[in-house]
Amino acid sequence: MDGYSLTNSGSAYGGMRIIAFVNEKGGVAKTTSCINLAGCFAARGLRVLVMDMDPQSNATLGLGVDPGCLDPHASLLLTDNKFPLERAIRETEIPRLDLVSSDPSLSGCNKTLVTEVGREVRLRSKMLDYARSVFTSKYEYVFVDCSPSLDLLTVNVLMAATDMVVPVHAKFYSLQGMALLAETVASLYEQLDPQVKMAGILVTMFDRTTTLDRVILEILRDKIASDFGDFVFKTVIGKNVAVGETEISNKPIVLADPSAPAARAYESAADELLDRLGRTVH
Amino acid sequence: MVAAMETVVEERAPLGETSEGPAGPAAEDGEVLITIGTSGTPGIIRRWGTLRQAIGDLSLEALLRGAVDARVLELMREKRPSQYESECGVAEEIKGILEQGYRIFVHDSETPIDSSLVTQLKAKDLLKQASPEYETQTFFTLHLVLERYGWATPAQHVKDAADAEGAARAGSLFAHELAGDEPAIEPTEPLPAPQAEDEIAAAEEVEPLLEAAPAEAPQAPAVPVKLSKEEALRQQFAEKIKALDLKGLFVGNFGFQKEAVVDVSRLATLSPQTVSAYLMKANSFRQAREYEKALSYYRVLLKSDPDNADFRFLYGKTLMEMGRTQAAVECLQRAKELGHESAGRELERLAEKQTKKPGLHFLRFWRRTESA
Repeated sequence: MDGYSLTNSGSAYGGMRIIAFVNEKGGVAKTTSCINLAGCFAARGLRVLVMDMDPQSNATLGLGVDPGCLDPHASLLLTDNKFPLERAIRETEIPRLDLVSSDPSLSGCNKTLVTEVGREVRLRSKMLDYARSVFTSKYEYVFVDCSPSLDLLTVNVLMAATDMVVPVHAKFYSLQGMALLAETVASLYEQLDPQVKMAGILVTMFDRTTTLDRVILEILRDKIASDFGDFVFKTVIGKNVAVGETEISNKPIVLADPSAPAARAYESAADELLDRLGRTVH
Repeated sequence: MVAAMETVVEERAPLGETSEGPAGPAAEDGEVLITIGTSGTPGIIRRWGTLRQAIGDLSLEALLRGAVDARVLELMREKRPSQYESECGVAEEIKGILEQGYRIFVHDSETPIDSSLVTQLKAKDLLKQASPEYETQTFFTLHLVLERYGWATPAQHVKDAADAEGAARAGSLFAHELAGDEPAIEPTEPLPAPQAEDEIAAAEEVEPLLEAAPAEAPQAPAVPVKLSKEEALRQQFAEKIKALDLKGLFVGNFGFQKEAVVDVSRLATLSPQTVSAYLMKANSFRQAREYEKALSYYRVLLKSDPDNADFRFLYGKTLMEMGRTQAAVECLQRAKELGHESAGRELERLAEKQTKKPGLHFLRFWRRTESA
């Protein structure tokens, strides 16, 4: 564990924390943040499961798995009541990091689920079943990569998650996406019983040479800090061409090119996330 | 990394060479020198160097100015496609600086300016002290310093960018500013003859050099104060970001579930899409006969826009469906006044219902049977 301890944990899941990476806006580095932070956690000796709940399957590809293969995918978790989480898990080349892969058919779940009873809590019940089926949960952290929309897939993730990380781009549209997410979460709290708590807002693809980025980051930090507290990650993930370059290697940049600035930033963000998760009581 | 900044007489020095050729035009107001150290030179400058060599006959200044031109951008796109976007951002910064009337001089990393290295490093440290935001980005630093220290106005003269005095002077300016003194007013006349490199290398030489500048030198005419790009953006975005109600993101952390209802009045100014989403929610609650919830959504919509005939009408219609006739009539009448086409018809229906009084018919029947 390298000095990290799980002092607080998701009680519903027997200590397992489920962290959703969510923002309605696309292209804000949800997937990159998800797999890289997962990679950092695994490198620290923590057992991590990545769930790809985005039909675009970028996290699946990013961890070296072909979304076109015939192995079970996340969609079965949502559509088949009897399909357990254990069967959807596969190992990756990265030690201590496993994957529930996605495939394009996942997008069809939105339609399939509409008429189903308990459609918003399908994933939650599967996670609860998994947590209850073993004495000690195999994973300490589950990182869930969401699709860039607030559809039933994302609602399922939010209903199952214990924590959420919101990657944002320091651009106004990205912040608007965050505002829409806020509405959805509020609506879930009004009508259902989610457990999800905000772990932090992670600014990604930050271009320090751009005045706009700097101004938005500053204003956002001020606003969040004054209204709610210290919820914006101190670590900012800078724009780094190496992220794109390492995508082709099907590994997170933290493993493919650990010396890259973005890799170092994600290492720092992982430390911060662990600290933040430690501060959040479930 | 940026090391020091100073105005400069030198106009163009071929990259990779010392600037010992013609000194270029005389000092002008509002010139700025960015001296790039022999170590830690930003890649961007190196890349521009490469580009300049590719372009051949362009002067450095022209190159910088041209960095936003299609020709240079095309070269960037072709040669460094992955960095193209980032470069565009920097180019915009430079363009902004140039548009404010400042000229930029850049030393390439290969330029032998050893004498100034000490000062450059010192300047870098001082910059770090001056601002925790200090980063290795050249033009961010330039921008920051221009804004914070008001170095935009004076004409600052240094005979040669590789000149020991110029480098020393750059260091002394930082020291002066950080000491909390008044901003240094720069002489318009050239400084005394350059001193030897070994003299400059010592930090204690910096201050005497500053003192050596003629105190009576007339101050350069001030450049008109313009709103910086950063200030303009801050003004533009501050209100919009303030209007973002992110409370919903934190409901779990703080437990304010009821309060999580977003204040649409603020969002309405921000995003019509959000208002539409609220309207859809309200309508769907009404269709599901969850009238109280529907009313709560209509209420926030009305709060955001009290004179909206549609919101008023829908609120009244919901009240009507709930059987709260008196309140519905008042609401629909207001909607009618506001010009809602269907409000009048709904009022007529209500009136019709009230005159029919179906319950009384039943009562009459019951009384008849009782008396019989």
